[in-house]
Amino acid sequence: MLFNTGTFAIFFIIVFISYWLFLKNSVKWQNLFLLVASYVFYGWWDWRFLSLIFLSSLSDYLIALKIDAPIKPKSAKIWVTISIAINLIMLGFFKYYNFFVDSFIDLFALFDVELSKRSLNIILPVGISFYTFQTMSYTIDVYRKQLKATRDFVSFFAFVSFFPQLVAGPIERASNLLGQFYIKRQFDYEKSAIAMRQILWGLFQKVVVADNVGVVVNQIFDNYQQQSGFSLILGAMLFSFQIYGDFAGYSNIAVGVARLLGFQLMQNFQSPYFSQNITEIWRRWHISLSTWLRDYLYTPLAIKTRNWGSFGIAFSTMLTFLLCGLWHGAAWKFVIFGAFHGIALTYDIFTKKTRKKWRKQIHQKIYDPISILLTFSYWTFTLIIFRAQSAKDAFIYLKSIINKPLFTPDDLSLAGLKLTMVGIVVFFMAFDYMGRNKTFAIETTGKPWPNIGRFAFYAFLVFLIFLFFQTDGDAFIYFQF
Amino acid sequence: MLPVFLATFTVLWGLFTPSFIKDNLNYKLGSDSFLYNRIREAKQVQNVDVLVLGASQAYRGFDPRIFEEQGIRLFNLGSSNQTQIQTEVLIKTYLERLHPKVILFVVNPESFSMDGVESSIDFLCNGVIDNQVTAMVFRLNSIKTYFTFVYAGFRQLMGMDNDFVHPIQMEHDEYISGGFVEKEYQPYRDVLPNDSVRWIPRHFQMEAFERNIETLKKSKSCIIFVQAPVLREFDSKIMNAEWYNQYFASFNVPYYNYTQILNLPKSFFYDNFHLNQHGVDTFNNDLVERLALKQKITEVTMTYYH
Amino acid sequence: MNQQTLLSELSEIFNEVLDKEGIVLKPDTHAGDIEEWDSLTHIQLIVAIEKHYKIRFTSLEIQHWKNVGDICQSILDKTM
Repeated sequence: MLFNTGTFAIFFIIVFISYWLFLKNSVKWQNLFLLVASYVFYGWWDWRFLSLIFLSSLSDYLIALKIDAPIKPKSAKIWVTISIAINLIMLGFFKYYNFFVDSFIDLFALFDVELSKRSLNIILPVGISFYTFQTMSYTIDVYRKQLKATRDFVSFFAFVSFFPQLVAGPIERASNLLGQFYIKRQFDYEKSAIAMRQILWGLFQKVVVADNVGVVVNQIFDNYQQQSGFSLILGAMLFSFQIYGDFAGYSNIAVGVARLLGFQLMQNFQSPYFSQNITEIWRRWHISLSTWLRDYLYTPLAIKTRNWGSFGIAFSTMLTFLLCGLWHGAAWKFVIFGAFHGIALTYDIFTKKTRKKWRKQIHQKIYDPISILLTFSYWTFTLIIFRAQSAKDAFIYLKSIINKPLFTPDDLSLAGLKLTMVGIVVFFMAFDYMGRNKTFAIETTGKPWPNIGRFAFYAFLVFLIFLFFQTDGDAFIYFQF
Repeated sequence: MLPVFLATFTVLWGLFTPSFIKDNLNYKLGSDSFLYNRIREAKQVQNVDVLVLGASQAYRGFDPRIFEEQGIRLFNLGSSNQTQIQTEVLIKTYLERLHPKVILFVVNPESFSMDGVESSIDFLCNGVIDNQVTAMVFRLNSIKTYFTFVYAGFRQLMGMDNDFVHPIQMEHDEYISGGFVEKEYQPYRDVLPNDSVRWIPRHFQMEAFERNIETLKKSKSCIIFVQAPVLREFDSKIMNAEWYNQYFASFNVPYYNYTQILNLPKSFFYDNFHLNQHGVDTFNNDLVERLALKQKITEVTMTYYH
Repeated sequence: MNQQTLLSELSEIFNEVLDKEGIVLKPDTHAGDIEEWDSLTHIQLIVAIEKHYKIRFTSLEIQHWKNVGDICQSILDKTM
């Protein structure tokens, strides 16, 4: 079930009412109910996926207990390695098998060696990139003695499959979320009101910004060979806002929904587009992933290579971001996307002192806005690679920006649509800027206003959500086959 | 509380935002179906001999002047992309006052596969919003229709467009009394699809169609199904044409598939779906003959006096 | 070597690596207390500390550190 569907709304209303009305006095029953609800939610996509998440949860539950009570100190290390191996093999097989096979075949083709392909029709289980990372962080934290292994079977399985964050994050840490399953949740009207506001804003980000802007982006990217330079740039920039609205919107809805059930999930986005460098963007974009990579990949790697000096740091940074890129999808364009960010972060590390000097010399009132613009431009540039059909298409797209004429008469077509998109983005980013230090943009909007003013504001957002709701399907079902 | 705010915002948005903004509120006075003129004329007319119901093949395919020459009073109640849901509204509103002896129900498959939203906008902006139109809005249950309903309703309540005069001529089209729209001659210009085509019917349109036929059968009028001619080369690409033929035949109503009957080539059309005036002439004259319209009109008139 | 000497020596190292002045470390000081102490400078601090005391920490030891006090303990363990 997707968050912005009627099915989910009905599902959640049932869960919400049952949870608070009938189960409010028993933690055990609340957890069991959430576990069942989460499996129903996940099984809705495909019931076959349930076996995988069950296995992943079971193996890490058992392994953590083994790590915590080792017979020999070395066996703890063996067990955590097994856990990582199981999760990565599962992830590797379902997500990357075809990618590896194809790349292998392509590599040999370079030398004119033809390999026969044993193609497998593998379905990618929804959310596997998220929950494998989530369970891995649990066993690693237990190994690092930051956490005690739990014997609470139900709580642990519920933690892994918790439906608000199962499909698209935030990737939670056991130290944050697992503990919340042990205590009884109390219904809090204030917190629930804030949660509703967060869900409203998330819906706005998704329905009004992402879905609408996406229409123009798709038109431009699907026909990129016929676009003018201006159009290609516009398409890229709009995509930056589409992906932000889509992902941050989904995260906000997830956090809001969890809050309505009494859970506090971590914040996943913090107004990333006002960052002054790429390092800062990654501190504010998909925070749960970047912190995961920092704690479980970059830091151990950097510690191991600490005597390689600058090369060690560069190496660790590049490798982390190449894998970060690959995490997003099984294609070379994602690896290249990662590489560009590895480069940017390495640049940031080695120029830290210099940039500090520049900021003092060029007055910060000039330096900061320019930094924001340059950072956004670089980010958008990497997103072209991310969004294009393939690495090759991305390359042609980028070349076309320079080769093609800047404007063509075609640019005037759909001017109304394009202007609408720009208007929506400006409205969105104005609120994003005003709420840049908050958990979500409109967290405190309207607090000092009278009740009716605040209600009018929320009603206006609801109005915009309906007004710009993409009604899919064409007027005709003119089915050509 | 919330609905009040939403309605208020809808009206304010419609009044003050420029029309180029692409959103779910679509208000436009005047359309190339000339529904505006047609509705206002229908409110004045009483007692016709023949009533035509359908989408664009109806109002562009039946020329009242040709029928008038044969002494038949014909009125066209059709509009662009009109679907069964809209035809239902027209039947319930105008059937009694028009009191036709014969109803020519144009049954071209396209109308069954449409969602009816576009036509509903036409009805809301260019028709008169009354109980039947309101019922249609709720039956359609579409966001776009709801928004337009609120805004158009407001404008009509406030009489904001009372001074509007719809032109009789628009680009190459001219509105002819009796609900017909004549297109200035232009040669055939359209593209044939490469692959086959299937008009997939929507359940709610089929249900509305069945309701319509039931209502019409209760009246004393003689109902005849007519599938207006489309270009034969296009028709041959429709995979489920036979399914529709059988569906229409199942209603125990005389059914004439004029694409098959006349099998007209490109010289009679200006696009894949619409006859040019020469085609209309040929089609209408054949219809009067083949359907023995004058005879049927006389028969039904007699039953009114029993 | 007592903890006080250790803390002042470490404060010096921190000052140098983080390019600051006047850092005064306490046993409960942790990364969140000093702005420049992030995942990157953390590595640089470790390298500097290891160089200064001519010791080498294991990865596990490093991961167990929660604050400066833990670091001191690890140093003492290795230099005793």
